[in-house]
Amino acid sequence: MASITLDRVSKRYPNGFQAVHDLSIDIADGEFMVLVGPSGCGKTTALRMVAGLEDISSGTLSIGGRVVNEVTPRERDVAMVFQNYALYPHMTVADNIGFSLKLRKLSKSETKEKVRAAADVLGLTEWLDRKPAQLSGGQRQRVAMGRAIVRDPRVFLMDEPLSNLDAKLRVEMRAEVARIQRRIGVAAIYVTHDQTEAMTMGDRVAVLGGGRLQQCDQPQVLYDRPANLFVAAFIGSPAMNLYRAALGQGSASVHVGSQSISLPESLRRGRPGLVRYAGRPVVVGIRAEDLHLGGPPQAAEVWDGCLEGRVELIESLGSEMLVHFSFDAERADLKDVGVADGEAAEEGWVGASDTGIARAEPRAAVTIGQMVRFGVDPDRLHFFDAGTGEAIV
Amino acid sequence: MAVAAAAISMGIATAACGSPTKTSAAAAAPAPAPGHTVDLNVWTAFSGSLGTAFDHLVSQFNASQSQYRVTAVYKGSYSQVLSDTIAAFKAHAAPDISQIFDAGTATIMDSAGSYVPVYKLMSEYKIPFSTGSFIGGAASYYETSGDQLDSMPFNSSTPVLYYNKAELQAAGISTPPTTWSELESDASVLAAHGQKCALSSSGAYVMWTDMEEFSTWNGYPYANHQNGYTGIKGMQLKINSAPIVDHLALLGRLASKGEYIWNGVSTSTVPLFTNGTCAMYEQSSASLNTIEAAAKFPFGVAELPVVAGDKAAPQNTVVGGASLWVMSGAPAVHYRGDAEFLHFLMSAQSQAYWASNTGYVPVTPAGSSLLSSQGFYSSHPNDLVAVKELTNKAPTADSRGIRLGYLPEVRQVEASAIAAVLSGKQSAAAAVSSAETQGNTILAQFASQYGG
Amino acid sequence: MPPVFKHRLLPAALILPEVVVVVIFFIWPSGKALLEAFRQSNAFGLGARFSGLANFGSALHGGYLQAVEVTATFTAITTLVSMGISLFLAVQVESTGRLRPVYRTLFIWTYAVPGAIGAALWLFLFEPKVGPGARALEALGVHWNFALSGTQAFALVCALTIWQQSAYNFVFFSAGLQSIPDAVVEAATMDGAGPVTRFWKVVFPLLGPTVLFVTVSDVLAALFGSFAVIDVISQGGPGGSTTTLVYMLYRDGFQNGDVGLAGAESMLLFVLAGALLVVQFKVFNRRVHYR
Repeated sequence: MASITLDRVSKRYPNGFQAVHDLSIDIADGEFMVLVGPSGCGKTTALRMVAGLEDISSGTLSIGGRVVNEVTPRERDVAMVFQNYALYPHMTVADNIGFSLKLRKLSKSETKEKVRAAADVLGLTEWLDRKPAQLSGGQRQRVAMGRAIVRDPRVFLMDEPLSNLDAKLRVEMRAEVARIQRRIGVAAIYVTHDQTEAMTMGDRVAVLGGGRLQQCDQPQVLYDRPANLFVAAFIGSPAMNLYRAALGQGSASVHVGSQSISLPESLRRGRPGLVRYAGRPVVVGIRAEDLHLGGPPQAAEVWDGCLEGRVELIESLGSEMLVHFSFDAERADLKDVGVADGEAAEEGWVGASDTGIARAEPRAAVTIGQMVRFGVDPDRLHFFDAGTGEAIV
Repeated sequence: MAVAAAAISMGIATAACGSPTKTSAAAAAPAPAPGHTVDLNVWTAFSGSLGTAFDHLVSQFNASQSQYRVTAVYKGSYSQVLSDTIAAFKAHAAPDISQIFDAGTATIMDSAGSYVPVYKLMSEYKIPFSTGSFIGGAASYYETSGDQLDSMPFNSSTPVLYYNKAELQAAGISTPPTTWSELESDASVLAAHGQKCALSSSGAYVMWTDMEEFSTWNGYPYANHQNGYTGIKGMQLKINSAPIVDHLALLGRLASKGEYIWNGVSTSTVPLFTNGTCAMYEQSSASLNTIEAAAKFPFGVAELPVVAGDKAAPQNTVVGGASLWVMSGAPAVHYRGDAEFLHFLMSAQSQAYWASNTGYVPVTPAGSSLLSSQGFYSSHPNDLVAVKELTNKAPTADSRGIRLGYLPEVRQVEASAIAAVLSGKQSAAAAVSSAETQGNTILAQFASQYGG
Repeated sequence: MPPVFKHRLLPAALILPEVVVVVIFFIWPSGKALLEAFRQSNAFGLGARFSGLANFGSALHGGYLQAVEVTATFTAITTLVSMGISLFLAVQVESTGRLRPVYRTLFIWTYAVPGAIGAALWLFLFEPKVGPGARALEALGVHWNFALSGTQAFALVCALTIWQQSAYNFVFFSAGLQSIPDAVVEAATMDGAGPVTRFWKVVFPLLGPTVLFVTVSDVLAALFGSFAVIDVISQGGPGGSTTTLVYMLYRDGFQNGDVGLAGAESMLLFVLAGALLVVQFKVFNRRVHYR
């Protein structure tokens, strides 16, 4: 068992491409760390450097306090689950799981015992004599897990292990993987592009974009206080509504399109950075659940801010309803911050004519084409520098 | 012979071979209509200077008349001409005349129906032709058991001993050896004088020079049934005899000291003599012009050595080379042309031209006489040695020739035996004995296929 | 799938060219060879008669057993050595970087040289007197003359066949290696396997189908395709030391004009090759893992 420390780790390929820039993360022993980001963000490269499958160009990697940059994968005592499982097609399930033990010259009976124990944990006992080709996707995934846990490794690495499963199985396996990790209790790094997986599984989540660490924190913190536009856009489903806006005189209001929301004194005190943006453009972010259909909730103090828009589409999810609406604000272009539309959030589609999505009660009385008002709690607004994308706090 | 039982007349194909039916004229077919030229194809193995000399004769014939136009086609090696002729015959596209080499004689002769016997063809067209028109060695080689010629002997040569005058003189040897034991002691003398290799033999045809011709020249039988002339069934080789074993042992002794060099059937040995590596060379007289062109030293031609103490030796050598066969299955109008072309080739003038330009011997006494009267032999004594060997004595039952079915295959077996002796892999006795056994198997296969 | 064609004529017409090719170039000649094997006739095809098993008797006589031995040795040596060399080269080339395409072309290249031309080239290299290869061997103290030494002729024919066959095998081993997912090899690395263990426990078993294919191709090439090389180098000699069964068949049938004997020999070779392939598939099928 061991902690993992990445200290300004970089990866440059011979062709000059730099996949990872000065990545620094500490992962405590027993911690479940998720690396998340859109494809090409460098998360898999970072994981492979920890595994020892890629050389580290600069920076240091320590496992259990020992620098392991030059240590072979075998000696790092790291187990890894691959995206396509990478099972040995010519071996039975038992041999797949027991391969590493055999290489360590464990006795036959001891190997058998450990394989059986791992199979029990994973519910693979009755498949031990099968070959991978005879198994379902979920079973193969379990074998891959079994191959990793049977070794009692110091570090447990997973590279998108659920991405090849169908949606239902994926949800089941999320919990399963998290349960197994807690059971073996070693430091784990889990790579995914799926922010839902990241949010639900990680003790902490490191968001990577463009080879750089954007923010690393507990899932709720990422959601509530995204450090920059990239994280704001990437985390959350449906994605945060982001608009080009401008602060009014004395930062007392924010103008979004032709509408404006008053910012109370308390807010300005809480986020002193806002003062400097008085009269300047910013990007303002509003999560879908912070748009209250029909105005402020009755219990709330009276908000000075409302947004009015036209209903374009209604997505009824049963437990709630997503209301797509339009008004005259300009949406912040997410491509500017390296997140392509549709990559951040798989659910919650933003149509071309829409400018926003709001969550509403499942049976709210709205119809397409209707003009509606949304109450906005100013305290729940997010402000970002229009140029750097950094959060204004 | 079941097939032979069918009367073969010119231009009539046997039903068995399924050839297209031709006019079954018992009498000679007419000449082609005036103004109409008939094309005749002749397949040969003549390349290089031989091809040039043959083409010259062909164009002379074409110029001498206007009814027939002969085209000579070079088909490759002797065995290729034979296999191509066979394939063409089966496809009903045989040439008019094909040049079949000595060793293929039995194969075609015993395939009655595939050819029109030349003696019959000539009599159809009233052209004077008899076995006696040819020199003994050539006529006897190709005649049937009834003393008739099914094919016309043409390019005929016989092995002779070439010797490098300069190297022999340098070693103090004034005349070339006349016996094999003399040759062996001369080899030691040459070696002592720094001439390591004394002798080489024909590359592809060492079994011809040192087994077949060795037998006839020294008067030993080569196979039973008078070397195959009087029967097919029960054919057996007689090569496992003391003289042949001793001869190969002698060559083996020389080879072990580097005094005899032969490098397998696929390697030409001519350069070994012409570049001075070996002082003496057993090779066909047909190579005379080639050697003359390449050798930069004075050389002579002598008769082959004989086995010392052998009373009968020297007997006579037999011809090697090929004869011309007229194939059956051609349109009737072709055959008069075939006959006239062959008649032209056997004329004294043609034979004199051919012999003097190639190193082959004239196959007719008339050709020889013409050359003598022209003084050719006095100016070219080397050319006379082959004629002398062939006509040294009247052929005996064992020296008229060698008529074995699948002789090319038997030769392969013999070449293997010679290679085994020369490389020291086998003793001469063991090699010859196993060659005879293998050869007899081949002869038995031929007998069961051709023996009726 | 339900039938796509309404008419029966169209599918028949579509497979007709294939059927014609198979019948003309395979079934008809094979039938002819089978027929001739039980007949004796002279070279010109005249006077054919049924002869029972006489041709088979003659075939099994004489040099046949030697040819079987030569063929077996030749097949075993060329197959094993060329597979070993090509697999080694393919593995090495796969682990190179930017120069990989260059190496690949280099090693495949020899297969583009037609058999007879390659043979002529080697014939020149190892010509006993002037060939540079022969001189090098002489310098090493080998008395080189393959025209007389059966062992040397056999070695030369083997070496040349291996030289050509290795390039062919290399193509397939390269492709086979590329089709093995990197992740599986990486998984073995993570499981603690070193390069040698990775190769023998993971890569080689996954090459199973390729190995089977290459073995079968090599055996067939040795049994049937050695003809051109032998014809150019040694014509089966000296002393039958390079006479393989197929060369013997060629010589008996085409040079010696004994069609019946050649027919019998071709039937024997056919049975032998068929039996060998059945054994190969049986042995391999128990071990090969098809992905």
